[in-house]
Formats: sequence, structure tokens, C-alpha cells
Amino acid sequence: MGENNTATAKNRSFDAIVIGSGISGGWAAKEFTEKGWKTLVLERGRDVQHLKDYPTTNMMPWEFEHRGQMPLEITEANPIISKCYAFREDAAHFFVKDNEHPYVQSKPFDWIRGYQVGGKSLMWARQTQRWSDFDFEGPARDGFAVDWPIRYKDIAPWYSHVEKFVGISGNKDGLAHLPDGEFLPALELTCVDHYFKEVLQKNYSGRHVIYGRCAHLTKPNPIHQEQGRAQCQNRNLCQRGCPFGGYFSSNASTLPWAAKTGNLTMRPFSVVHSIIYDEQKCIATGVRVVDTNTKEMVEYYAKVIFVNAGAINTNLILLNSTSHRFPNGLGNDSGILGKYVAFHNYRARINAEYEGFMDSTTDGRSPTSAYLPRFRNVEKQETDFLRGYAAGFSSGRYMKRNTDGFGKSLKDQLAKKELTPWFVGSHMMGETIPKESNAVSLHANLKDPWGMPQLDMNVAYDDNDEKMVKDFLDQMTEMYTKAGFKNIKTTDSKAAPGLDIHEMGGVRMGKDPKTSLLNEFNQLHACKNVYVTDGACMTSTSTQNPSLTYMAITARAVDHAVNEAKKGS
Amino acid sequence: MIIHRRSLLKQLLFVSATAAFAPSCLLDKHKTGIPLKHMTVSPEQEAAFASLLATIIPETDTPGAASMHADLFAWKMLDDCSPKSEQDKILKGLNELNLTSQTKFGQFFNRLTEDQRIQIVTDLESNKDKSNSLVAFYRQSKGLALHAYTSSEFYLTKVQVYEQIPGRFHGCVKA
Repeated sequence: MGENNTATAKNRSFDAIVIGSGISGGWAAKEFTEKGWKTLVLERGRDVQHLKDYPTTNMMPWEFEHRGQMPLEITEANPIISKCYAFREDAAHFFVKDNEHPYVQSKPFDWIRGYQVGGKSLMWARQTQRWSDFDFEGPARDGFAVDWPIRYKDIAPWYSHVEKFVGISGNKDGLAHLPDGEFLPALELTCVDHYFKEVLQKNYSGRHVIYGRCAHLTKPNPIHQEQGRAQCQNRNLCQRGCPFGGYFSSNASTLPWAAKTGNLTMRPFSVVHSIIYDEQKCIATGVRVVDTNTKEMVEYYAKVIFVNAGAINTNLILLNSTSHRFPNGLGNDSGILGKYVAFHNYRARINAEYEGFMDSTTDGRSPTSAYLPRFRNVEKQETDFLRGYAAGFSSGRYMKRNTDGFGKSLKDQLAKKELTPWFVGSHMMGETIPKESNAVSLHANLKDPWGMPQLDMNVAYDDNDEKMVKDFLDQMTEMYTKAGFKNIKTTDSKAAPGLDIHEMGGVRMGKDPKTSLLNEFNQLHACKNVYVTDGACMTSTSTQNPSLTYMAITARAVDHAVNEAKKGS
Repeated sequence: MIIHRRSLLKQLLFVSATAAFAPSCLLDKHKTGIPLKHMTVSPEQEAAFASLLATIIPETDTPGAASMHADLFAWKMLDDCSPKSEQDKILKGLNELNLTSQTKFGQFFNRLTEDQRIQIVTDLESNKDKSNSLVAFYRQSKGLALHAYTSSEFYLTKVQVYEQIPGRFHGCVKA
């Protein structure tokens, strides 16, 4: 406990503490430090420095011991993380192994985690679509969850603010339910993408195929060059960390930017145990940190605390922050902390082939694919389930691999440069309805290696999700059939919640302290100097990939915190 | 066939029993094959496997399975990444392959002439009987040979060139 004496207390005092260095924590760090605030960023994992700590980034496929595949001993010992598509030999070192942070699955939940500086922003899938008022007004219109305390106009300038810095590639498509942003040039759609787009235009109203918006520098601006980032080179090896800084991550962008101000203190190996609440002052005064190397508990102090631990871990910290005033977790007067957890439904997939455009193909690699924005229940309720889904759409041609026979003829076949017909495929990105019964809570007895209670996951699909899976497969099959795609195959993976890696909620925003934890600026209603701006704050899930919204919400909340402090002084 | 196998097994046992007196004997129990973590491979199995993969992907005017050590990669994948059932299938299959070679040509597979090996693999290649364990073993081995070959440095730099840094994407070009 040597670190906790008063002589060092001054060294452990900051203007702001940010818990977590992932995509939203990185933004909090950047915004605070730019505004001159001395900021401590606490990261539970190890340090990962841009470029320096990407050990596999330039490796060739044949240089991997198992050419990418994970050894059976590892997959058998880690059944949860092994389900993640990116847990392969080139990026496995950025993912948390199952036994490194145990939790209880009262209902199956594949919790995919990246504990290191940069968090999951290192390995994310980089798709960045704005929300619209069709999303923010969803709960109020359709009568679920609670009304969002913000609307598109509140967040729009902050979307612009983060997009300019992050670098988002996209087209201005003019769709009301998928607003345009500050875009770098989009890459091209394929011939089949264009064809499918025309088929939908001809046969439906309100069904669009657009180029997916993604956090890639297709044409860097000076602001990106200033970050030391260069143009995306279409390697599509992003999960290893990018030697060009071609995609956005905390490591390549916000954190080094924050460090340059001289106002950033980064403390890796720091598991936040709880937030310290001062019963007299009625504010939070700091945090208790377990140093994962020494297992010592150290306290840090600040006037503002941002909780960006990653949705589920943010719930854990708040639930574990108990005091006389808040016996059930910080800010939890309503008793709903940990409840109304939601996610994205990624279970369904469709694949097919197309025999047109046999004289054409693609060249190089695209970091994203085409995208079908939500078309179900957009303007009004029209199906027997609430909300809707977006879909990816990808197409391309592989090199044909004829493996018949053996010997010289087989080698000759494998050397041929003949292409397969076009493959086409779509995956579902469904909105789920937050429910009180979908909750995470603290287990009564079990602790993790740092003495924190283990989380107990009680999150499941409901009838609405099942109907939506069916509708996705029906509708996509119909659209694929109209397009003349052949060999249509549909699958429902039945994957547990969590594998979408879009877990949200538990600390939702709302207008009424009785039914929500956070106000319109992401402050805890009952403890205003604590802000939550990661996935935990989400009142509903929309269909769009959520990270862009977390970043915008974070920048907006920091602006609010700084303005409040100015008013106070 | 059953009777034939039995007599062959006897023959193998006899060879085994005389191993101590025959320095070049194939079934010397003191010799071990490639050292692996989870599998125990005999020198006969190792030799047969290398020979089978080299028959599937031979040396021509370009490298084949032998010179790129496809068998070592295949053993590694089996040892580290395959369940025990798959490992056993390969080991049993290799014994069966040697038995078949013995039956047909009086020699273990790796000692056959090229023509004899080709004859056996041609039979396996054309056999569509999925319940035949030797055929199933052959399919598995061929899969490993293809994996080793098509993910090798040679294949990805000289045959179907892997471009790590394309620096471009064109959505619709002439095929």
C-alpha cells in the first residue's frame, strides 16, 4: 500500500480519469488533453504501441507456424474466444483467453475482449455508419425501452467532428435513415454490387445498395498526416495492426495525439476496482485500481471520471462501486443498472453464385463491402416484429481450384488462372430490443483473479429476434432470386449473443432518473461528475455498427464536462 | 481379402521378430519416426506419408511436396491442430497403405517404383466408396498435401502470387 500515502496523493491527482483506452476511451483522452486537462488513462491490459507492438504485421502467410490456424490445445482450452472470426494465428495475441478473465454464463454469452492499450479498436471491423432520427426516435415510436434523451441534431456536429479526425471513406448517398457524413472518397462497388443495386431499384422502393462507410484513409487529409498516418494500402490485414496507420485505432490516432499534448498519463496493467464516492461532497472523487502486476490497490483522484471500460466491464465497475449512498452500485437509484443489455443479431447469412459478368472481375482488395441499409419498418411499422436489420453485401471471384487427380496434371490445374463465377453473400445486422430480463449482475461468491466479483450473464434472444432472422432469410432469398443468383444457401448460426461484439446497454441514457442511469450528456443522473460514453450508455441498438456513435457521444460529453467546469469556476 | 490380410499380418510379425538380425529391416522397433508432441509415428509411417504426398504433388520442372517438405508441415498440422480421431485415421491409414502395397507389390509404399505408386494412387483417386477407410485416409492426406502446397512460399510467390500490399481496389476490371 506504499503508493497510497499523502506525499504521493498529489502525483495521483488529475483533472480527468478515463477508464479504458479503447475506441471511446481514446477519444475521451484526446479531447480532454487537447483542452489542457491533465488526464490519466487507465488500461487493464498491457501497453501496445503503434507500429512497435504489431509483431505479425508484415508476416507472409507461409511464415505462420500453422499458416494461420490455431492449435487445437488453444481452441479446446478457449472455446469462447475461439469462436471469434479474428482469433487466428496473426492476431490471437490481441484477444483475451477464456481463463484470463472468467465470468458466469447463466445464459450463453460469447464475451469477446481485447485487454491492451487500444482495446478492441486494434481489431475492430471498422464499419462506421451514422445513426438517424429513425434510430433515436425508435424506442418512443415503437414503445420499447425508454426515449433517447438526444436526437440526431444533438449528435450530428459531433459525428462530423470525429469523422474528420478518424477519416471515413464513403459516398454521399442522400438517405434520410443513414445520414451522410464527412467522407473521404469511397472505393468502388463491384459490377455485381451495381447490378444488385439496380435489381433492387427496379423491384422495390426503399431498398438501397451503397458502399459501406468505413474508417479507412482512402485519401488522407493533412489532419491524418499530422497523426503520422498514411493512405490505406488495401492489405486487409487490419487485425494485426497497420504499419501505415491506414485504418483508425486508438493506438494509431487518438492516443499518440493525446500524448503529444504532454497532458496524458497512460497507466497499463490497471484493473479499476471501483469508483470512490464522497458521501459529504456527493460526488465521485477518484477510482481504486488493482495493479495487475503487484496486486496492490492504488487510488487515483480527479474532478471528472469517464467510464469507457467496454460496455460489459463498465457495468461491472459501476455495480462494484458501492457506498452508503449507493449500496447497489454507483448511480443505481432506479435499480436498473446492468439491465436492458442488448446487442446485434448477426446470426443469419446467405450465400449464392452469379453467372453474369463472366468477362469481369475485381482487382486488389477492398477494406469494406457494399451495404444494404435497413428497409424494414423504417417509415412505419409493417411487419409482425419490431425494428429491422441492415445487411452486408459482398461479391467477387476466386481463383478456381480444381483438385481432381494427382501428379503433374494436378499441379498444372493448380497453376491455372481461371476464375470461379461470382460469389455473393450477405450477413444480417439486426436491431435487438433491450429488455429488463437481459441483464448482467455480480455473482454472489465467485471472484476474478483481481478480487472483483465475476459477472453473471443473463442475455438471450427473444421472439422478435427469431422472427427477424426468418424475415432476413426470406427477404434476402427473394432479392437474390430476383437477381438471378444461383445455388442460394441460407444459414442460421444460432450463435450466442456476444459474438456480434456489439454488446450495449446496462447503463442507459434517458430523460427520467427513475428509468435510466444517464442524462442527455452521459452524466450519471445521481453523480454528475461520472460520465459513461461507451456501449453501456446505449438506450437502443439501431442496426448500424455502433463505434462511430460511441466516439461522437464521447467527444460531446467531454465538451460538456469541460464547459461545466468553466461555468463552475 | 480377409485371409490375405491375415497372412500378410503374419508375415509382418515375422519380419518384426527377425528385426534384430536384419540391420536394414523396415520394422526396427528401436528406430522412431519424426518426433511430435501428441503423436507417435513409426519410421515406416513417416516414409510412407512422405512418399504418398510426393506422389500426389511430385517434383516436376517445379518443386513438389518432397522438396518443400510438405510432409513435415502436414505432420505439424496433424500434431498441433487435428483431433485425435484425425491423427489416428492417418496413422492407421498409413499402415493400411503399406499393407496394400505389400499385397500388391511385395514392398512398403515408399519402396515402390514410381509406376507402382501411381498405380495405387490412381486406384484410390478413382474409388468413390466413402465407407472405404483407405479411401477416406487418402482424401485426408490429399487435403493436407494441397494445404501444404498451396500455402507454401513457392506457390504464393511463383504460381498464384499473393500480393500483400495491393495498394488498390478496382471493382470491375476485365477478367
